[in-house]
Amino acid sequence: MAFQESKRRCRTIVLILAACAMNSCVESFEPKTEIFEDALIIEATITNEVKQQEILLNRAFRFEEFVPVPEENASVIIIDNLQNQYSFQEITPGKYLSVLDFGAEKGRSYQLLVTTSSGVEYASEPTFTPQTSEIHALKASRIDNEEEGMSIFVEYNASQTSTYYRYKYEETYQIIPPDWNSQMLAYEGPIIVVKARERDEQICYKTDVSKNIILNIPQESNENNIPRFPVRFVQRSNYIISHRYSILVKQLAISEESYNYLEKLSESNQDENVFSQTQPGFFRGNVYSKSNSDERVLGFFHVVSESSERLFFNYQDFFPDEPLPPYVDYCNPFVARLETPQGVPNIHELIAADAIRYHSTGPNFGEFFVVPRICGDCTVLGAITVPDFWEE
Amino acid sequence: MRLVVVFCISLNFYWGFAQKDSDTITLSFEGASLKEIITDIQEISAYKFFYVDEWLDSNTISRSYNGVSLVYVLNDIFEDTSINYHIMQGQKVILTQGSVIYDELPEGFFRLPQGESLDSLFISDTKTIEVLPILRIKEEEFTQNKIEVVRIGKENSNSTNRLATLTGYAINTNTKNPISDLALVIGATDKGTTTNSQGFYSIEIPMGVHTIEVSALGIHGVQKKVIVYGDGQLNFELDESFEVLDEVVVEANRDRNIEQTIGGILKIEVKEIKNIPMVLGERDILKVATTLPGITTAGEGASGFNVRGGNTDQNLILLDHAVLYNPSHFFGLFSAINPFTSNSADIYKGNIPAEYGGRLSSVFDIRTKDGNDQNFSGEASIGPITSNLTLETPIIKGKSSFLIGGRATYSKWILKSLKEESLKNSEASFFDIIGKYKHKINENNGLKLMGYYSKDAFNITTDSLYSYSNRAFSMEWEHKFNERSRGALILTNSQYKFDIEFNGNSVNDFNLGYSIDETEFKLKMKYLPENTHSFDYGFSGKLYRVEPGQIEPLAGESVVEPIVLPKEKGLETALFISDDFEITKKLSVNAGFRYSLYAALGKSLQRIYENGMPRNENTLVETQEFEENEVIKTYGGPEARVSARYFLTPDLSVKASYNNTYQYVHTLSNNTTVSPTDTWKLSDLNIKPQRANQFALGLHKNINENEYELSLEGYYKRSNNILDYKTGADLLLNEIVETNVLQGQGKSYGAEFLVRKNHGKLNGWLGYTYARSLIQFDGTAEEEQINNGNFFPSNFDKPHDISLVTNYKFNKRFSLSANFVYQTGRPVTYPLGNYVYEGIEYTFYSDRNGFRIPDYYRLDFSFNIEGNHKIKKFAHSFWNISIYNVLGRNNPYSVFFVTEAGQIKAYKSSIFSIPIPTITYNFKF
Repeated sequence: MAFQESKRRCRTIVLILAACAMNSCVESFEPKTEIFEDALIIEATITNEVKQQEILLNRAFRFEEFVPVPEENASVIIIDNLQNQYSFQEITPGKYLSVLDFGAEKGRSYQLLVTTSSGVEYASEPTFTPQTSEIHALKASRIDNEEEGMSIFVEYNASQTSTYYRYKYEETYQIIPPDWNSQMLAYEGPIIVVKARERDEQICYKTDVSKNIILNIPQESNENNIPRFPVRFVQRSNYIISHRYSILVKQLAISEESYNYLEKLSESNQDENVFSQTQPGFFRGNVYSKSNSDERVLGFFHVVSESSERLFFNYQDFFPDEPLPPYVDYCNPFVARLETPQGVPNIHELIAADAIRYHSTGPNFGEFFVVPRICGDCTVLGAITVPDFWEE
Repeated sequence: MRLVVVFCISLNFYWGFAQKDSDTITLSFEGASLKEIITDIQEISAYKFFYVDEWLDSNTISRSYNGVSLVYVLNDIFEDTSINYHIMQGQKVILTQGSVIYDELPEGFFRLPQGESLDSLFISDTKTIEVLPILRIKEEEFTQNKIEVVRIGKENSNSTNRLATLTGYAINTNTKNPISDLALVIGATDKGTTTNSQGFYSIEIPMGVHTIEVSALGIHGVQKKVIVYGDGQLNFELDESFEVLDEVVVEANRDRNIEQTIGGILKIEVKEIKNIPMVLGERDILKVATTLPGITTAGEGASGFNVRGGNTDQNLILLDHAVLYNPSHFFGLFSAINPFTSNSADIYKGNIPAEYGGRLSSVFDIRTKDGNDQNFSGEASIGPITSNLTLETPIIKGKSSFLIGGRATYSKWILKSLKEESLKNSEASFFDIIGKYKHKINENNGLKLMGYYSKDAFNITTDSLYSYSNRAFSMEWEHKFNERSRGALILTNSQYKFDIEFNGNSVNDFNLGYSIDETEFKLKMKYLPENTHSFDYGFSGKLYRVEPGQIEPLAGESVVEPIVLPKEKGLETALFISDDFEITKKLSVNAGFRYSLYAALGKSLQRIYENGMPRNENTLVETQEFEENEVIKTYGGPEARVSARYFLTPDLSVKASYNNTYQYVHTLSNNTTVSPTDTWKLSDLNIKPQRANQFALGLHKNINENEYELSLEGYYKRSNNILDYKTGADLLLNEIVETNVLQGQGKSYGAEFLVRKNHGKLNGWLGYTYARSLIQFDGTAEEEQINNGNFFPSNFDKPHDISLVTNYKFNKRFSLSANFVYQTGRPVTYPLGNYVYEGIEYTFYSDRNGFRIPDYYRLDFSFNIEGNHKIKKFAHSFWNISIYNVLGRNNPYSVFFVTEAGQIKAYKSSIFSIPIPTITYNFKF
């Protein structure tokens, strides 16, 4: 894309004159931060699940900084329309949990009230709990188009059309390193020998949480097609589906306001056509400052009805007798030597750094073939503990 | 000529001989011309005559002489003519026109200080001056000046009268009406007079050489050299003032600026803009417009104009009556108007004449020049980016002509030949072609046909190809009913379309298209009942057809779902009448009235939303279906176009105007600047027409015979239902576009100051504008508000704008010009900081247009070298060397922020950050 042009190249192009018009000079620059404006960010999603609800308060930061500053020692309360109060306490800086367990109840509206340690008061619009809406069906199917892989989708029933949904998922998968060996290298005195493994590093589990904002409004479909929405697509080349894979899909029924806010938020982060950009703008959520209506307050107070569904599948179920996806890293066994040229680590150094796993022993000279640790140790990527929900 | 030269030499030779003769002549003739008489005299006597044939008029006289002297005969036959004679020794008679040849110098001649009046002392034929060095004192300028020389009366050598009475009348060349109040000033004296109401005048002036200047408002003033020998008559036939002066780069006609009833008009003559430095060597009529007060662009390389705080879609750009929707190439770096085939552009930014309508802010009325109906001729230009060729040829000599002009880039070829891989595969090309046929059927009927096509194609990434095209056609039949009444029948058709093809060999390949087509029929009449009135009236009807967008998968495997948005149709009709009425000499009024009526037509599905609620799916009440050509909704109303002019003094006028306008088509654009993917949307049930009201007041002054022109204009404009989009709106291929746009109010005001020097070696202009453009979107619901519903600066609100255009002519061949531009940086929405929400980093922004990009300034130079002016040469050539952005100022075009790999990166883009030299070669044949 044009915006990757460097300054120097710009000049060359300009000299060619003709091309200049096409590849206008686009340079990256450090924006001035004199215009930085401090702002409170309220991150709150209250669900219908009865639990300790969580609210995060942070502050905006300058471009050259990378870490948000937590808003500490604030007083946080949620009031419902029956004047029930739910108070929150700060657990870690900026993270506030409700003192008591509660869940958003049908037909009630909730309002968030925040008073910072400096005494500034913030509030949200009163927000109603949306209708609960169970996941009608969660399914996985193999996609054989140009982009091969597994699609995990929800199906809707007729009553669910024209509802605003947000999806979150947690995917958990087995990791089995391709060069796992029941034996390992160990020192016996100064000598390196091969012996039985001390740690089990064969099968691990890892859970990833969705980061992107996934939104959908199911539309009424004609004919007898069941409306469906792909929540997650895993490419066939992704190693996470190599063995057994599980996904927990949470379907959050949200308000239209929440939907609009999240949609704008997600669009605001998309790349634009550089030659004439779409003009961004400040968009307000449903939180505001009580004392100063011009103050920019970021974030949103969502009240959602959540339902979730989990499914499992094995690679073999959908790709029987087909090669596994490539492992996350290249695994070529190599000889770990006792003496190596300058700059190349020898076997002692490799063991000390825990960088290798035993692969095999050469039949003629007894030299040790090893692989990078990741190829023989699943704990590099995941944890050995089987999750509670895991079903084989 | 020859004869004159011979005469001159001989005059020199025989200078100083005495005038004496006593021979007698007997002669009679009837109905003989002077020439015949002289021939006769030569035959019967020994006299030889020297003269120029033309001096002897063909009037015939009859006389009979018996034994009279030659002097007697000559006195008699030349009685009623301006011929004088001189009889020299050797029986040679020299005839002169008016002049008396003195054979001795008056007393004290050489003692006269130079500069003291010698007016009546000696008047020679101007052609003889070269050989009469001692008498050249006041005459030098004769030989250099092309001013017409007129001889008045006949000198009588015996007369002691040093004063002569000059009388005459002045009439208008076109109307043959007498011109009253025409001022006559006799140069170098304080004498002057004016014509009476019948156009007559009388003045007593010293004999001799004078410069007489005449001028009147609305009349093209002239200067005449007169050589006054005696009493005589001098009549003037004068043109109305609309001739463009030579050195002027952009010229309102002489006195037109103060005279015209309508304020806020700019006229650009294409042939005069070549001296203005231009980017990449392209002459550009629309770029010149932006150096004048009140017309700006959003940024360098941005297409579209903002006239007096109006949006870019509010300008009606007409090429020979046909609308051009996107008159730009290359994102606005070049205009799509071919400078070689264009004649002039009238830009109405204040009061729009009643015959035009459908846009709020301005009318750019661009006219193509008529082809040469005498000879085959042409013009070509070779520049670094484009080449241009224009050919003109008569079809029937003197009656009909054809003109064709084309322009094309060779950037495609340049890009292909580059080593740089990413550029090699890119494409950017454009061309435009225009043809015009003009036929003068007879005295009373004329026909003009014009066809135009332009196309741009470019890609930003290698797998996408953008292209857009304009097509225009117009036909104009002019008919003269009588001296007082004329009419024109105009038929036009225009089309604008764009197309995006994405071909990345993926499942997402698509082809996306849009088009708008309009056909207009217009009848325009002019009626001149008497001198003080001038009526224009007529009606027009325009049919719009829009294909708002369709997308189709490109290859078989493409998963892109085809979408075809339903077509839109609308009919805009208007009646108009205006009268330019001169109430008194000082006060004139142009009162225009237009009634426009727009009907949105089916076939269509229209969505009806709850009243007073933000439009979205939840407030959708029902969807109504309309049949083909069924009227969905009509809008319209009266539009007043009133302006008045009052002369405070003869060279100072004040003008005021009020103007209201309707606009039924709107662009939908997410971009700050016009982009080729902007779509035009017709008003329908949900999108109301835009409206504007403008008040303007201006002072116009000419100084020193129009050497300087000054104007100061102020305006205040309110607009309603202007369109903007909700933050983050999706406008392309959106069937329910009304849910994404907002209609709000606009408010703009400003003061425009322009001083222009029209004559002399140094000419040019300086413009300064203070202008604000504010908009407001204050819907009832929060989602219908921008910036809390307060007024905020529009994208093109640039309070201070200075343009200086100067041109210095060293001589006929060399000239240097310079441009300087300064503008306040345009408003942008700035990122104020970063924040993390649900684990992802975002940037948050200021209020819409809360900040400004750095100020813009630029200096350009251009040097012109004209080829020599030999008449017989095959081609007249012309070199232009220009440097754009001499200061190398890195003017940011835009500032923007993108998230890359979870990090916010800021970019600024500038189009030209270093000085850019170009050379263009032009020639005419």
